Amino acid sequence: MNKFSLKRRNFIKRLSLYYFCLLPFQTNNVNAHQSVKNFFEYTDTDKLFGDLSFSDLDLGNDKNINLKTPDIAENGSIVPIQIESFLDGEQTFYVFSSKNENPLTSIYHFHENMVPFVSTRLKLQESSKLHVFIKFNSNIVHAANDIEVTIGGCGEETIG
Amino acid sequence: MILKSLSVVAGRKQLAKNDIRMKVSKKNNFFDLKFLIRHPMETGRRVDKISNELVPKDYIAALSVFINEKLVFDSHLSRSVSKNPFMHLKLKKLISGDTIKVNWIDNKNKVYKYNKTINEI
Repeated sequence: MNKFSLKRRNFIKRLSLYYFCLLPFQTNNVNAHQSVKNFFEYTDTDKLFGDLSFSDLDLGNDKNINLKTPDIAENGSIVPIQIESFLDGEQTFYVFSSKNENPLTSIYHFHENMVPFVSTRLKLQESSKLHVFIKFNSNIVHAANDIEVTIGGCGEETIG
Repeated sequence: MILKSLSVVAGRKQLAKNDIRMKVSKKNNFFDLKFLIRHPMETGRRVDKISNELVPKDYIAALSVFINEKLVFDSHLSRSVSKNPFMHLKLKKLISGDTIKVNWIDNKNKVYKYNKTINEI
């Protein structure tokens, strides 16, 4: 009986040791961000599309995406955009602005219990095309809109 | 100054950096979730007018939304998201008593958390 309790003590000791060894591998938000972090530092749009395997696609407007952007944005530092998808299930939105210093602006991932819809505000450096790619079940669809910007939003003199 | 006094009249307190304001409402079959985080989102390209030096990069890098500790939305942002990032999302279902949790991380890997329990919807 005495031996057994010792064993159990050892077992608990060892378990706690393993737990602390595994702590750095826990999948949390910070680690998840490290995996895509380098995509945000690309400066060349074509190379970025190639590495994200978006290069061999027709860049037409898919009817499953409803992309709402202003035709003329007076202030490039606040450009409202709205993306809605009519596809079901889990999916990921990739939003690019072709003439920003770093073309990839944001990635949105929707799990279940979410409507694939997002409305937010972006900064645009100059008049450019806003590309949206949606990845779902290893399929990719695309939509794009032209936005004319009067005052650039990433530059030295930002308004607001 | 006028704006500040107006906001006091409207019953809204001024938000400090990394404060969040959230609103949940029901619309048709969905639930609107709107939130605004006060954050400068510095690109690293702006010159400070007083010291004439570049302001260092400071932006939210990742943001996620949990409902009752279950991950529903996950996003990676960059410095090309506007100052004071605002987001409008839609939820399929939400019951009163549910908790909404928003986590975000800035580019220096500092984590911020916000919890809200929905009493009535």
